[in-house]
Amino acid sequence: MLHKIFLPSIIIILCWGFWISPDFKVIAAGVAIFLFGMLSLETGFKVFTGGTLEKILARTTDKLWKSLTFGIVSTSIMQSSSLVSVITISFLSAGLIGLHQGVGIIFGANLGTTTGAWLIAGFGIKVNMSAYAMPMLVFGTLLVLQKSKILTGIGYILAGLGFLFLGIHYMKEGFDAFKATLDLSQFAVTGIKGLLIYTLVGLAATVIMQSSHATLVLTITALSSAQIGYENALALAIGANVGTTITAIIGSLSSNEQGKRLAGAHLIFNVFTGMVAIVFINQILQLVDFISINVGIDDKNYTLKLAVFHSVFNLIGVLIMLPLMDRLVALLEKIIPTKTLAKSKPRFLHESTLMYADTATEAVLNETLHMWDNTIDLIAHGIHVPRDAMLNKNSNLEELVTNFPVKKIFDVDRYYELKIKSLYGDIISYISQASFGWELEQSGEIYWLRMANQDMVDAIKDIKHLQKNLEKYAASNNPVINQQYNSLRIQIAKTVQSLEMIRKAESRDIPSLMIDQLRLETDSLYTQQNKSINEMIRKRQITADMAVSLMNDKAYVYNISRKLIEMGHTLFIQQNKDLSTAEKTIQLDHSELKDIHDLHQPENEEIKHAS
Amino acid sequence: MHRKKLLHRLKEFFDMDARDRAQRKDELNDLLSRLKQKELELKTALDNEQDEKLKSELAQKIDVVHTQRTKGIEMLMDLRNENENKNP
Repeated sequence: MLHKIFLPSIIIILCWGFWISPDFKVIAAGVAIFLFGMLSLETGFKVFTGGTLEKILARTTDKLWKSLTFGIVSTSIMQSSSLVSVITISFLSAGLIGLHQGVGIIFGANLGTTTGAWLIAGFGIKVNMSAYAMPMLVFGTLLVLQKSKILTGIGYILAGLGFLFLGIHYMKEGFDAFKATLDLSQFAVTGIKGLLIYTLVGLAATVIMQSSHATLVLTITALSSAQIGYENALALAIGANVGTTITAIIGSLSSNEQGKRLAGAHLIFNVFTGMVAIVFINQILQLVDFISINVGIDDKNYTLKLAVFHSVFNLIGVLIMLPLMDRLVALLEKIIPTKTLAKSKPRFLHESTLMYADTATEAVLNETLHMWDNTIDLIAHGIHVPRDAMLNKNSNLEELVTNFPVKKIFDVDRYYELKIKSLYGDIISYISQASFGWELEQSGEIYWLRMANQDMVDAIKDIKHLQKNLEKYAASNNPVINQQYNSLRIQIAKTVQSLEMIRKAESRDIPSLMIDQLRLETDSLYTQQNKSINEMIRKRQITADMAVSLMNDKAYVYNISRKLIEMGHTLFIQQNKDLSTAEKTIQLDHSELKDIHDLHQPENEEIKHAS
Repeated sequence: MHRKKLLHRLKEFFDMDARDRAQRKDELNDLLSRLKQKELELKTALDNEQDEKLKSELAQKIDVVHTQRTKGIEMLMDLRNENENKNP
C-alpha cells in the first residue's frame, strides 16, 4: 500500500513545489542532475569491474588494514560508498573475499565517503563549478560514443563528474535565489528535538535519493546560504549516514547469506555511529571546534566545520567498532545463519495432473526443466565458477576461471543426494504411476524425457569424477597442466552456456542448427585435445601420470558435454512446441556430422585445399 | 471452370494428407530461406575474419548449415514427388 502511494506522492509534492517556487525547481533540477551524475559515474566504474577490479580486490584485501585502506581509497575515488558496498557484497557472495575483509572495506568506505563533504565544502561552494562541468560533459559524451569499452568507461566517469559539478552549481544557485523569497531558517528546531527531527529528515532524504552524497551536498549548499542552521545540518549529516545503508540492504536482497551479513554489518555500523554522534553531540562538537581552530578553519565557516564533524564521527565509529569486529562477525553469523541445503521438492508433479496424458507429459517436462536448473547449479559449483557469470553470454570464460581458481573439493555427493537424486526419484515414481493406459505419442515423449533426466544424472556423475584432479592440478606448479584443467572447466561452462542459449533461442535463431554446431564443436575439440596431449608428452611438458589423468578427465568432460547435448536435444528441440516439424527433422545424424568432422581434420583440409 | 476449381479446393480441404504435405512444404521453405540467410551471414563473417582458428570454426559452422540445407532441399524434393504421385 505504502509502496503504491509513495511515487505518486513524491510527484505531487514536486509538482506543487515547482508551481509555487521557480527557485525550488532549480534546486530540484540540481539534485536530479547530481543523481544522474552519480548513475553515470557508477556506469563508468562498472566498465572496469570485468577483471581489473577483481584482481586489485583479491590482492589488496588480505589483511584488515589493507581492506580498510581499500575501502577508504576506492570510496574517495568513486565518491560513492553505496557503489563500493554493493560491489563488495557481490564479491563476498561470489566467495572472492571473506566477511572480515568485507566488513573492513565497509568501515573504510564510511571514512572514504567523508572526503565528499570536504570536497564540496572546501571546493564546491567557493568555486564556480559549472565552469569545470562544461568541458567534462563535452569530453565525456565524446568518449561515451567511442567503440572502445575503456574509453566509454572513462567517458561515463567524466560525464558523471560533469553532471555532479553541474548539479552542485544548480543547487547553490537555487538556494541563493531561494534566500531572497523564503527563509527556511525559520523552520529551524533547536535542542535534542531538532537533532532527532533533522536526523530523521536526513535519513528519509537519503533513502528517497539513494545517495548520502546528494543529501550532504544539499545540506552543505543550504548551510552555505544560511537556509538551515549549523546544528540542524549536523543532524542531517547523521541521518544521511544511516540512510545510505539502504542501497546496501537492497543490493543484498538478491545475494546469499554472506552478502546479507555484510549489509547487516553496514547497517549496524552506521546506526551505532549515528547513535554515538547523537548521544555525544556536545563532546563531538567541542572536538570539532578544537580541530577546526588547530587546522585554521574560521569559527564561522560552518560548511567546513560540518565536513570536520562528518569525518570525526565516522572516525570515532571506526575506532570503536574495529576492536569489536570479531564479535560483530560472530553476531552476524548467528543472526543470519548459513542456509542448510534443503532437499529439492518437485514443483509440478501433482496427482491432479496424472489423469490426462497431456497434462502429465507437460508436468514431467517442466519438472525435467527444474532438474536442468538444479544441474546447472551443481555444474557451476563443480567447476568452481559463479552460476550467473557462467551463464552470461558476454562473460569471458577464460578470465572467469582465472579469477575463480579451484580452492577446495566441492561435495558433489551431498548436493546430488539433495537436489538431483531425490527429484529424479520423484520423476521416475510419477512416470511409473502415470504410464499405463496412455496413447503411444505421450508414452514416447515420456520415454525421452526420462532419458533426458538420466543424461543429466550421468553428466553429474562425471562431474564428481573430475573433482579430485581439478583440486590437485589447480595447486600444481606446472603451468601447462594447470592451464589444461582450466580449459576443461571452460569447455564445460561453454557447453552449459550454449545449451542455455539454445533453450532461450527463438525460432528465427534456428536452435536445431545451434545444437548441431555445438555437437560438432564438442567432437572436434575432443579430437584436437587428444592430439595435443601426445605433443605435451613428447615435449615433456607433463609427466606420464599427468597425461593419464588428463586423458581420463578429458574423456569425462567429453561425456559430460555429449550427455548434456543429448539432454538439450530432447528438452529444447524435440519437446519445443514452438519449433516446426521441419526444424526437428532437419537435424543432422551422427554419420552426417562425422563427415563434416572428418573433412575438417588438418590432414583432410590439406587435401581439400590441394584439390 | 468455377465448379472444377471449387471441387479441387474441397478435395484439398478434406484430404488430410495433402494438407499435411502443404504445411510441411511451407515450413521447409521458410526454414530453408532462414538457413540460406544464416549461411550468407557466416560466409561474410568468414571473409572478414583474420584469425585462423576462428576461420576454421566458421568454416565448420558453414558446412553444418550447408549440409542441413542440402538435407532440407532433398526433403522438399521428396515432398514434391509425393505430391505428384498422389495427384498426377
